[in-house]
Amino acid sequence: MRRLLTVFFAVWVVVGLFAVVRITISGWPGNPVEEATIKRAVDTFNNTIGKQKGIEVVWEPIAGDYKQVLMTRLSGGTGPDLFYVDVYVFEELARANVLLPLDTYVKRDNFDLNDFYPSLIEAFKYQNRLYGIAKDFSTLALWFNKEIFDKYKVPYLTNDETWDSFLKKLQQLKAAGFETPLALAPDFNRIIPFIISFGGRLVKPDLSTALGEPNSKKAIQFYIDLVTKYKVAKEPSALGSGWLGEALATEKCAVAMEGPWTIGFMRGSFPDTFKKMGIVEMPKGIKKATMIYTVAWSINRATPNRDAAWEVLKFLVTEGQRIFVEGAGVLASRKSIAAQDKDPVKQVFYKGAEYGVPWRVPTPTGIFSIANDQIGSLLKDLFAGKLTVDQAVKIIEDNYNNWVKK
Amino acid sequence: MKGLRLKYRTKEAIVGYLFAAPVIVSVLVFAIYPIFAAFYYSLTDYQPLEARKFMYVVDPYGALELHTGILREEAGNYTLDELLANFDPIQFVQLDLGVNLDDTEKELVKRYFDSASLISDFREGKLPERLKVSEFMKRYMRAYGHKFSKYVPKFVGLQNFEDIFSDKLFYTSFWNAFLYSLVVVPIQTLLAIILAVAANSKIKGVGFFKAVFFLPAITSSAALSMVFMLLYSKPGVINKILVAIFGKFGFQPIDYLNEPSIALFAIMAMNIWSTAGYFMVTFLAGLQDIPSSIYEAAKIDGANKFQMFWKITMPLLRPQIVFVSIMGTIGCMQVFDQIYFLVRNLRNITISYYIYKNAFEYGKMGYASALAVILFAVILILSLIQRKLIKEQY
Amino acid sequence: MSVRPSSWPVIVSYLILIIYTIATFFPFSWAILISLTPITYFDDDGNERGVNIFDWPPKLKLFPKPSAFGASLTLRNYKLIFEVVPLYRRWLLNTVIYAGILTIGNVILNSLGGYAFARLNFPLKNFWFTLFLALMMVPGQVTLIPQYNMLVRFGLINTYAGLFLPKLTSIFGLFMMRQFFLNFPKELEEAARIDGFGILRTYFRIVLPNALPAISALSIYTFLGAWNDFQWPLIIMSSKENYTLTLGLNFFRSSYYTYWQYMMAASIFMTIPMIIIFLSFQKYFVESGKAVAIKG
Repeated sequence: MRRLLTVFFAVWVVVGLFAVVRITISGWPGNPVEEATIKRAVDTFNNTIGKQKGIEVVWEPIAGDYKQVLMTRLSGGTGPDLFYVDVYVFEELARANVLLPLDTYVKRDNFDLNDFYPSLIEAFKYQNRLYGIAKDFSTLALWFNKEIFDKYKVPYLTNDETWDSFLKKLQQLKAAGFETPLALAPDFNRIIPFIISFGGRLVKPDLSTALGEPNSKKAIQFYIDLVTKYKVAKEPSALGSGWLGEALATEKCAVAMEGPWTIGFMRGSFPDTFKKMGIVEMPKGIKKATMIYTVAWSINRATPNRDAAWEVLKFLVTEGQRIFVEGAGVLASRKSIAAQDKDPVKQVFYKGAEYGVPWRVPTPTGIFSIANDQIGSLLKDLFAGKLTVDQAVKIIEDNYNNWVKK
Repeated sequence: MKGLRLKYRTKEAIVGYLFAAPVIVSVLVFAIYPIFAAFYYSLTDYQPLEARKFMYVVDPYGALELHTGILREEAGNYTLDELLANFDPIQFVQLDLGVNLDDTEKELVKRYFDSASLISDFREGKLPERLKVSEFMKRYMRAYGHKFSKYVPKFVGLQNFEDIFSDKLFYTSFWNAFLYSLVVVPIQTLLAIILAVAANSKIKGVGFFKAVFFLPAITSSAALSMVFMLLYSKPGVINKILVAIFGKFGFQPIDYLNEPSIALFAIMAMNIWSTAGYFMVTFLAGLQDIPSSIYEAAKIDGANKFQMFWKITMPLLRPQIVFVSIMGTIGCMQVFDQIYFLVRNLRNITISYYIYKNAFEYGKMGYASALAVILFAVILILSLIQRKLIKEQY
Repeated sequence: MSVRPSSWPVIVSYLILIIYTIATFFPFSWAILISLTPITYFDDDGNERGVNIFDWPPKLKLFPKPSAFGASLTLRNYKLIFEVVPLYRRWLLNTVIYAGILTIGNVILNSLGGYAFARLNFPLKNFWFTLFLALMMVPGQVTLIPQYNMLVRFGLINTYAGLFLPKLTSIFGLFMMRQFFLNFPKELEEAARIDGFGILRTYFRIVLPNALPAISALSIYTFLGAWNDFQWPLIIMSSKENYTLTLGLNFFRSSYYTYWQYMMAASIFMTIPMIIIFLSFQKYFVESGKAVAIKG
C-alpha cells in the first residue's frame, strides 16, 4: 500500500513538473493568409520555447464583433489570457483595469523597448504604465488597378496626387465608362486622413469634438460627395464585396485606400490581380496624412498564468513578429525587423508612418467606442443620402458628450 | 372515515408540492429574483467588469514592484521611509493592484490603508504570493476592510431613466420595435387567415400545404437570416429576378440590408414569410370548429363569399385573432436574432438589440436594465389591453 | 368547357396555396442550390476557376449531370464545413446535448408540475398559478441580465450547466401540460383510486402513459426551441468549443462571409434534423401549434 502511494506520489510529482500551462491567445480572425501566419507563429512557439518551458499556446480567434465578445468574456471571467487590443479601444480597457501592466516584466527581463517605434509604445501607455506591446502596425495607401487605368486611358495615380487631381482621375475613369472607380467604407477611421489633410482635427484641446469645425466638415463633405455628388465611389457591400480589399481584388473597383494587410490577402488568394496593382501614397490636401493602425498584445489581468503569458507575449513581438511581417504583409513595429523588411511593395506603407496619425480619439473618459458606432451609423446614412453633412455634424455635436460619457 | 379523508388531503398537499417544487423553485430563482434584481439594477450604474473587481486574484509583489519600480529582491536595500516616501495607496490600489475605486472607497483607502505594514512586509519578503483582492484589503486596511469584499453598484436613482429620455437611440430602437410589430402582426395575421380559409375550402392535399407552410417555422431564425442575407444581397437572386421583370421599367438593384430606409422592412418581410404559415394552422383549427350550418344559413339569406368572410368567418375567428396578435406583438417587440444577423446600421436596431448592446458590449448593465424595465412596462400595457379584448369576447 | 360557379373558390384557393407554397419553397431551394454549388470548378482547359454564384442566369441543368453556374453540383460542401471548421462536430454535439437535456428536463418537471396544478390541491396553489400567469408577460430581456450575473457569480458562465439550468422548466410548458391534464378524463384516476392506488402510483401508472400526445408535443416544442435558440447561447457560451450550431452560423457569417456555399451548407445542415423530426411527428407539431392557441 505504501509503495503504491509512493509510486502514485512520484507520478504526481513528475506529471506536475511537466504539466503544461495552456495560454489562450485571441484576436479577430484575419483573412486565410493571416490565419495561416498566426498559426505558424503559434506552432513555432509551441515547438521551441513552449516545449522547454511547458507552455502550450492555443490560438482562439473571436469571430463576430470582437470588442463585444471580448467584453462579454472578460466580464464573465472567461477572457483569453492574451489578446489583441486595438489602439482605439485601448484606453477604455486600460481604465477598466482588465489589462496587466507590463513594466515590471520589462524591467526584470531587460526587455528592449527602444527597438520599437516610440509612438507605438506611447500608444499603449496609460497613467505612465505600459499595458500592451504593439504587435505590428499598418498605414493606408492608395491602391489602384493599372490594367483598368490602361484600358480606360487614364494616367496612373502618383505619389503627388492632390484631392483635386485624384477626383479628376476618378471622374475620367467614370466618364470613360468604368462605373465605380473607387470603393469607400463608411467607417469613421477612414475619414480621419481626409480630415487631417484638409487641415481639420478630431478633438479640441478640451477633448470635445472638433468635427463641426470648418476644415473637418469640409473633409467629411468631400468624402461623402465622392459617393453622393460625384458618384465615383460606392461602399464595398454595394459592390457585392465584404470589404475594400476584396472589392479591389475582384476588380469591382479600380481604386481603394487600403492597408498592407491586403498584400498578403491578394498574394495568397488573387495573385493575378495583385500583379496589376499600383500602390502610391495617399492624396494630400493642405498637408499629407494617413492613418496608423496598431494593435497590441495585452495580458488579461485576471489570468492565473501571468508569467507564462508574458513569455508568450515576448515571443509574439519578437520572433513571432518576424513571422507575421513576412507572412501577412503587415509592418514591423520593431525597428530592427522593419530594417530587414525589404519588400518593395511595403515601402510606401512604412513611409506613411512618418506623417500618419494613430487611430485613437482622446476623450475625457477614455471611451470612444459608442461614439464610433454612432458616427459609423451616421456615415451609412450619409452614404445613402438620408442626411446632409450639416445635419450629421449637428447630431454628432449635440450627442457627443453623451456618447463619450461613462 | 373523516380521519382518512384528512390524511388523504395532507398527502395530496405534500405530493402536490413535491410535484410542483421544481417548477416553483426554478421560477423563484430564475424569474422572480431576476425581476427584482433588474428593477434594482435599473437604479444603479451596475458595470459587469467592476463587479468582478474584488474577486481577482492579485500578486502583491508584482503590484508593489510595479508601483515602486523596485524589484522584490532589491527591496531590502531601501529603508522603510525611503519606500514609503514614494508610495501612494490610492494609485497603488487603483492602478497596480487593478481595482477601480469609487469616491467613497478612495476616501477609505486614503484614511485607513496600512501602507507601513504593507511596505515592511514587502521589504521583509512576508507578503503573500497570491490572494484575492478582498482578502488583501482585509489584511491591509486598518478598518473598513470588509467594505472591499462585495461589489455594490452605485445607486443613481432615476438617472438612467433621465438619460434614456434624452437618448436618441432609445427612441429609434423603440420605435423600430413598435413599427416592426405594427407592420408584421396585422399582415402575418391576415395572410395566415387567407391561407387558412383557402386550405379550408374543401380542397385536396391540405396536409401537404400545412407541412410546407410549417417549414419556415421550424427553421432557426439564425439559418433563415443567413439565407435571406444571400437573397437580399445586391447582386442576389431577388434583385436578379426583379430586374428581369421590371428592368425595362427602370428598376435598379437595391441593396436591401444596407439601405437604411429599406433594411428593416426587408427583415419584416422575412418575418412575415416565416410565421404566417405557422399561424395558419391555428386559424385552420378555428375554422374547422365553425359549424357549416352557419354558412348554409347565410347562403340562404343570399350572402356572397366576401360577405360571409367578413361577417361570419372573421368574427368567429376573433379568439384566434386576438391570440395570434398578442403572441405576435410580444414576439415582435422582442425581436433579436434577425436584427443581430442582418442589421448593419444603428438606425435600424430594435430595443432588445439595444439592450443587449448596452449590457454586453458597452458594459452598462444599469442602463440596459432600465431599458428593459421600460420594455417590460410597454409590453405589460399592450398585453393588458389585448387581454381585455379577450375578456369582452367570452 | 365551362367552369361551374361553385368551383371558383376552390380554384382561387388552390392558386393562393400554390403561390404561397412556391414562395415558401423558393428561399430554401435557392439556399440548397447554393449549398450544392462547389467553390471552384475546373474549366475545359483544366484550369481551376472560382464559381460565381451571383451569375445570372444561373445556368441550371439537370442532364446529363445536375449543374449550376457552370459547375456540377456536389454534396462536398457539407463535408467541407466539417473540415474547414473542425469544431463543427463538437458544435453539433453541443446542440444535441443542449436540446436533449432541455427536452428531458422540461418533460419531466413540467408534467409533474402540470399535474399538480391540474389535479392536486395544495396550499397557495392559486397564488402560484396567478403568479406564473403574470410572469408570462415578462419579456426575456428583463431577466436576461440578472440571470447572466447570477451565473457569473456561481462560475457557470461558459459551461453546459449555465446554459441549461435556467431553462429546465418553462411556464409555458407547465400550462401546456396543465391544460392537458385538465381535459384528462377524471374517471380513470377515480377508478384507480378505488382500486387502492396512491397518488404517485396513479400518476406514474395511469396518467403519464396516457399523456403521451401532450408529452410529445411538449418535447417537440422544447427541442425545436433549444435547437434554434440563439441569444441565450450567445451570451453564455464564449469559447469556441462550447458553441451551438446557431453560434456556429454566426461564426461562419463573420469568418467565411465570402464563402456563401459554406454558409448555406451550414444553414441547411442544421435545418435537416428539424425537418426529419417534423415529418415523423407532424401530428404533434400541429398539436403543439394548437396548444399554443389554447393557451391565451
